[in-house]
Amino acid sequence: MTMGFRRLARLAALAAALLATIAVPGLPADAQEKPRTGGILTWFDYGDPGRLDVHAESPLVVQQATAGIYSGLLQYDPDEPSKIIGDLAERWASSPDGKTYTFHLRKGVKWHDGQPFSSADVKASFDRILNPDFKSPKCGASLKPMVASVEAVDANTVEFRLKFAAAPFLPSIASAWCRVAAKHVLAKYGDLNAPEAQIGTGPFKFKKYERGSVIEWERNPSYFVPGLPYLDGVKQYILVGGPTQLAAAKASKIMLWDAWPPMRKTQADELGRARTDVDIYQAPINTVFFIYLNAKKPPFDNPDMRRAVNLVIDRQELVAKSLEGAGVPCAILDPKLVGDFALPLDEVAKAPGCRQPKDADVAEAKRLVEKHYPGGLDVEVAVRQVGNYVDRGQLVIAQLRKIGIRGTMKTHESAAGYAAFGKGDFTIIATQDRAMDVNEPSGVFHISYTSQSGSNYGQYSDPKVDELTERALKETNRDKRRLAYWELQRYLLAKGDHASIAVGWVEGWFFKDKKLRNYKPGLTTYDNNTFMKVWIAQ
Amino acid sequence: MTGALGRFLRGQPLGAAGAVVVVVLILVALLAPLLAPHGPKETGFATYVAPSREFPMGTDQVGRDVLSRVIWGARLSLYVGLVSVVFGVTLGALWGVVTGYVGGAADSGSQRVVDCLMALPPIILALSLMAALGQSVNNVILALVILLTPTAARTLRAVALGVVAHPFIEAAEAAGASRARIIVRHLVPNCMASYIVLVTTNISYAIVVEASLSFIGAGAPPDEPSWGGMLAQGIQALETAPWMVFFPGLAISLAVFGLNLLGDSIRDLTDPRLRGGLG
Amino acid sequence: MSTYILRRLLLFVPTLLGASILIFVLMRLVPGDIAEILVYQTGSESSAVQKKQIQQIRQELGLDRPVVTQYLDWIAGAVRGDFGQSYVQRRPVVDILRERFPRSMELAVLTLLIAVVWAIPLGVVSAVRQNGPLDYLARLVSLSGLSLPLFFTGALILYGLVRVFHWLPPLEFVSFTEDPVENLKQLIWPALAQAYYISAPITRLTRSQMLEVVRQDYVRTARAKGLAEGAVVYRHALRNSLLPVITFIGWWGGRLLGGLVIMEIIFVVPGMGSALIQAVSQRDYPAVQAMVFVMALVFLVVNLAIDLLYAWLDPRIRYA
Repeated sequence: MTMGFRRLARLAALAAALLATIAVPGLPADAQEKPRTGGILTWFDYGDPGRLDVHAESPLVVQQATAGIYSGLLQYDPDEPSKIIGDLAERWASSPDGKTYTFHLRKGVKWHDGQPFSSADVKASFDRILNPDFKSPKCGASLKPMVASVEAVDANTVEFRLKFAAAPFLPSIASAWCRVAAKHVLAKYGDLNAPEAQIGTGPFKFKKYERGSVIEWERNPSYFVPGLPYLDGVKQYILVGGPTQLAAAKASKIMLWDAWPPMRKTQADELGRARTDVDIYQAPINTVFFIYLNAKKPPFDNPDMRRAVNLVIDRQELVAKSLEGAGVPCAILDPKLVGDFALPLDEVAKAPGCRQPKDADVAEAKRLVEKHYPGGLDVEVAVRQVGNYVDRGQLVIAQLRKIGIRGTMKTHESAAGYAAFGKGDFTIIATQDRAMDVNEPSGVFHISYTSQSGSNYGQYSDPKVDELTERALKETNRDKRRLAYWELQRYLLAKGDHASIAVGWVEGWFFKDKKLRNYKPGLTTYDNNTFMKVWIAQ
Repeated sequence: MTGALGRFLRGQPLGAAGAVVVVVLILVALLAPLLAPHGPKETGFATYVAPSREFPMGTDQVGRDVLSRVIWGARLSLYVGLVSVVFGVTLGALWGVVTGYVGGAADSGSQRVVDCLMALPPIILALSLMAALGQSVNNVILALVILLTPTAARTLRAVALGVVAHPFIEAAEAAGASRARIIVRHLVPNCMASYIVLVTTNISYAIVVEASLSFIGAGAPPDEPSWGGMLAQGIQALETAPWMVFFPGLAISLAVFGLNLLGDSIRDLTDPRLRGGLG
Repeated sequence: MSTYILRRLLLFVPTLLGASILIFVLMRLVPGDIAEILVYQTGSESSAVQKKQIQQIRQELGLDRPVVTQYLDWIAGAVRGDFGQSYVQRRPVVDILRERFPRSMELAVLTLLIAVVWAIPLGVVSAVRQNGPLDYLARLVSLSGLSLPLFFTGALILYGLVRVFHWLPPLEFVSFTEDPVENLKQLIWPALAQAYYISAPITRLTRSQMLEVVRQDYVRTARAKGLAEGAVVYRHALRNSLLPVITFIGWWGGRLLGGLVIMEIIFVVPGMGSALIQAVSQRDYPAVQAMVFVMALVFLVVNLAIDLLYAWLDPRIRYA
């Protein structure tokens, strides 16, 4: 790995800092044992993927279904999920101005159908992803703003030309969504939707997709890392609904719960009583619980009203009751995940809306509402019928009632609800979780706070937010970048009138079978699902 | 015990038990505001509290009093069950009786419409209707009405055709009675028994179907105190908080038992052919 | 008789047409379409890009054409057996049907078998011992099946199996032809739960029909002729009281494909019911159209079969 020394040092420092803060709480370290080959790992998908094109799709189920089949240029280290290491690229370097990245690819890698891998495959994959007419909501959405072009210099070298020196580039390329597909497969099938098109270079081959039932992988005997994978195969059952998923866990049909939605505390307790051969732990899922206000129509086109909601929402109560304590209230960035890019939590806890006790804030909020709506007002509070969103909605409605905002709940279907939100067909969205695609401080701002971001459902535009976000994105000096993000967070917390209200970062409970070794959850829900270095002890 | 009441109690003990349950149900529904210690949507209490002196039926996952919700749920379930069935079965019955008697194009035309509606899987019909109309208690009633009407029409049409075959209808027609008069004077009274049976059995059916709709997310809004909705939410925490499931389940079962036993007795009593035993 | 059958078969056409138009319209009244769902569910692109993508998808799928054109297109394909491509799975809908239909049919048949074997004798016993303790017991047991919502019984069974036996039915679907034992191990539980639920009306109907029939003249005649009680009950009363019961079973059975949804979800059976629910929620119009069409067809065919069976069993009935 040849890079500028300063860059290397900075990366190492970041990795060390992250390591120190991240070590998954509660998951016991595995004793030093020799990995055992063999065995099938069982887990589950919370829904049926339907389509399998990892470049074009966005639901987690698609990524889960295909994770072990493909490799990326880079990846997050299965042994150390905060570290970026090579996958198909064995070395990489950036130009001094940070606008050109050169990746040197491994030699002798073969696709699952025996065809040789080369830079032409990388170019074909990224040309597809970066094509302006191609809808790639995950990899494409994160790379398109940064990348100008991709060139295959020779059979084993690829060059990425960026539009500007972008700090998030490497973390994005290492994302589980930016996988490399085969040029000849794309040519033959046109897309990667079909099970037959699941030809990758990853540790597992795609064995079977029984729709609505199960997805199976089997070991790739010619994987380019000798000795890997340890497992003979991986089986994912498609289990819809909490009771069925929990029953499968209690009956020892699945070996781990590494999926969305995470277990709730009650489920974790039940599992703990039913099985003694599992480790149950709490972990972050790099997801933010948002409340959205529609800034395009009354009453929330009025900044006073938005400020009022921001003040009255008791984030600590929401985390305590609806997340059963598994979460980080108020934080716009979570120190556990992005280290010192996040404002220190004790400073956040003093911000208006966050500070406890809330009496002063609630009184101020009430005053703001009464100024414009002396008799209070009635609003519709929208939620999608997913997970425990409805319960969260109840709590939000109860909190709003304190300042005279009388909410009635309006439920939307899980899939079609997005259409209503995207079109702006709502007044308040009581809760909508948003998972980060990449563990990078820029993520949450590009997703929910900037004027053009797709999950800024309230469509609120604050030019200062746009300006600060852009500046932080393009800053190459790490310290300056950190300060930029601090300024951005402080601005949002102080102004308190954005239409996107971050209630907190969501965590949850998970379990893994004690026999499972070397399993380290990724920093996002999407990463580290390949199981390439996981093994099952006797 | 005296007279008719005594005869009823001795002759139809199950029916009497059913009647008692139904009366209690109606009373609880009417007196809900007085009986329930808290409001049905009132949160703020601790979550998952086991049954105790303060909360005799415990609290649920959002911190609401289960006892209050079960009591208010009687009102909601009875409202949904009664209104949807009365509208649906009555509409269907009238439709079936009138078109069955009138016959001709009106009859075959409406039979095709009934066929079309009955051929559609009911759960999909209900799901789509709720998605199109939005989730509210009144829309659930509307969906149930649309589900119940075709079957009622079909059933009552068959009964009406049976009645029409009797000679006194012919006699009335020969005497010059108008169709409307015949329908009102002769058809309706003779179809009454079947109509009553259909109503009583369908009320409990409506209550149970609403529960299933809640399970797939197409029932009454989840914050409403519908027994079925409470069951659907409760099974998520079956082991942790069994009271969330036990009490609404008990309420639904009692209501269904009561309604059906009462309905059975009414049918047994009103159908003269069924008095007495087999041997 | 054959003219009757022909007439009934011809009547299928307007009914199927009507049902398909109904569901076509209903699906378009429901808010949101596949284009909006696909684009808005990520929420990572800017709104200008999103609007363009929605237009693109609608054009690809032909959703920007007038509704009537879309329907005529669908009908033209349907009569050829081409139900189009699933918007969600991007493969022919017939493939989905071919996979899912046999599984739901198998579950439906299993459910009906269990229900009939259990419910009819129970109803007979109940009628024969009217108002006796057995009658009361039978009525209470069958009523309890009606009083608990289906999903609840299913969830209880699942919970009980895990809690008491630490065992769960197989999560991976194995077809009957592959391994009958594994297949039955999975399907017996949803079938039992569903059968318990639908056996209640069957028991009650059997009971009331039996009670009614024995008062008919021909039973009195049989008794007068001196036939043993058993022969009276079983040969005459039962045979004739079964007719409305059979009609009822046929009606239930015809609709079972749709009614199995909840059992399929809870017990992880990848059948047509659960596929239909998913298709509706994801606005997969071609899949919904095709599956509803098949369910309606099954309903009509089963009803016709039952009516013919009715005529064959009761010599007094003759269709003009």
